[in-house]
Amino acid sequence: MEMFKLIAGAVFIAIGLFIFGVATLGLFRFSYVLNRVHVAAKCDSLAALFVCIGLMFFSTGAGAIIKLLVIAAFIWLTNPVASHLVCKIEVETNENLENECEVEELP
Amino acid sequence: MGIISDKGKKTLTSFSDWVSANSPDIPAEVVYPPKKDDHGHGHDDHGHDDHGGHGHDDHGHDDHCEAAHADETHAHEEVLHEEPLKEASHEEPAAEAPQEEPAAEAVEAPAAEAPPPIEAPEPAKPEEPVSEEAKLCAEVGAIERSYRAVATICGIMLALILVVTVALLPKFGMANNPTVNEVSRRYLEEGIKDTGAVNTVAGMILDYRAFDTLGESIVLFTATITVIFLLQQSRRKDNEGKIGSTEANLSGVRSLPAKVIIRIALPFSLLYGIYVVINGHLSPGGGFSGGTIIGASLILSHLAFGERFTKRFATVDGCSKVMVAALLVYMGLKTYSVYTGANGIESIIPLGTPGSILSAGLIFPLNICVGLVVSCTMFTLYSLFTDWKIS
Repeated sequence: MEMFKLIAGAVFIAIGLFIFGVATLGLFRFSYVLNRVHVAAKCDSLAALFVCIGLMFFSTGAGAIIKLLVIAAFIWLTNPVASHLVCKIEVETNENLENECEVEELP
Repeated sequence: MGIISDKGKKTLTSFSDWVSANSPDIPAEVVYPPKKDDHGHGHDDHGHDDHGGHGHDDHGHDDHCEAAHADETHAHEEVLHEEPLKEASHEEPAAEAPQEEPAAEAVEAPAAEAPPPIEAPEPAKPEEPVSEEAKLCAEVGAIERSYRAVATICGIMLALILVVTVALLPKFGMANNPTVNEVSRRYLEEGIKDTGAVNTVAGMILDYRAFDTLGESIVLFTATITVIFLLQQSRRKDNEGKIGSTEANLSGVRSLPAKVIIRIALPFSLLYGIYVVINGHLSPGGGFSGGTIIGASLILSHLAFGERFTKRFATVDGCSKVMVAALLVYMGLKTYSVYTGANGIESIIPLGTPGSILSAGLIFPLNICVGLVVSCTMFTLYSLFTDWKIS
């Protein structure tokens, strides 16, 4: 059982770290703010969730697990909203949005 | 991004508008203090205008007075010259010039040449005040020269003292230095017994080194007071409705998802900040970290719901009162503990059982004071710079 917990936790944390790495790569490779926000928002949320799940396998006691759940929930609540606001401000303030990406209809 | 630059431009312009419209009402003593702390703000500008008005008839004397004021290299200078000031000009040089830093004068001198040509077409002043001003400028010049000599001597002596002290210090990183052995060991071994705080860091910064923490809190307080002082005048302007607030720029932030999520997260983050503050002597955290969380929560509510909502529980006036009260309580408590400690009197404040919430003597209230100061500083600075008035 201990062995199983160790392996499962390690696998989850490894997946999370891989996604973090992809996010970091995308953050450096993309040049436009909307692409970068996309990468950061999606990958960070998912990777943080995976790392939290992985840490749950290593933690002892219900208190630590509940704290990790709360952390994950908080990240999933706030991170998308923060990215949404960055995108919204960019769309509202960038006057040459058509040069950067396809625009269906300006709000 | 666009928002920031727009806002900056708008506020700078409006502030300088205010300066050119209102400054004759303000006595020189009142205007002076923020000037020293904050170079390059609008306040410097009317000094410029005064001398600019005279600039063409006594350049020789005006030169160094102007140089003293020539702190700004702002782009909004031109706005001011439309409405030069005439009444305040006679008192200003006497009040301001002697206290200016000599160093600033030397560095900024080239910038002083710019304004007088712009002002050249202005009508000449009556003869009498100009000569008075010239006399004042000459006196000021003498004072400034002696001031510079004294300052140089003091600076050299200070540098020598510091060099000698550094030479006398024990060598860095030696194993038998007192800092390596006694101090840290004393903190770690006797910390709980001395302070009653399980969190040794809290014991250090709020008991052994509480005076240092008081200084840090006062730095925050001073920053807030300076900003309030600088922005105070824009309030009148706002009542006239001439300054546009930043509400329009924040319309993107006040979108539905943000409001919903902030409404959910706000109570939790406030509660967590309070927890970190009052648990500061038991767990990592304390006044500074918890105060930052509380301040961020207040800013978040201001951001999402606007000033009208936030002023129900947090205003700039209230925050500054809370800061003053917290600092006074801090000073009072520490005065008591220093007095008893220095006179060998037993302190009547019990240290309690280490680990319980009501323990560690004075650290618990001191943490709360520091937390209040930090959170009020954050919120006050944010709301001042967004609303540009004192509500």
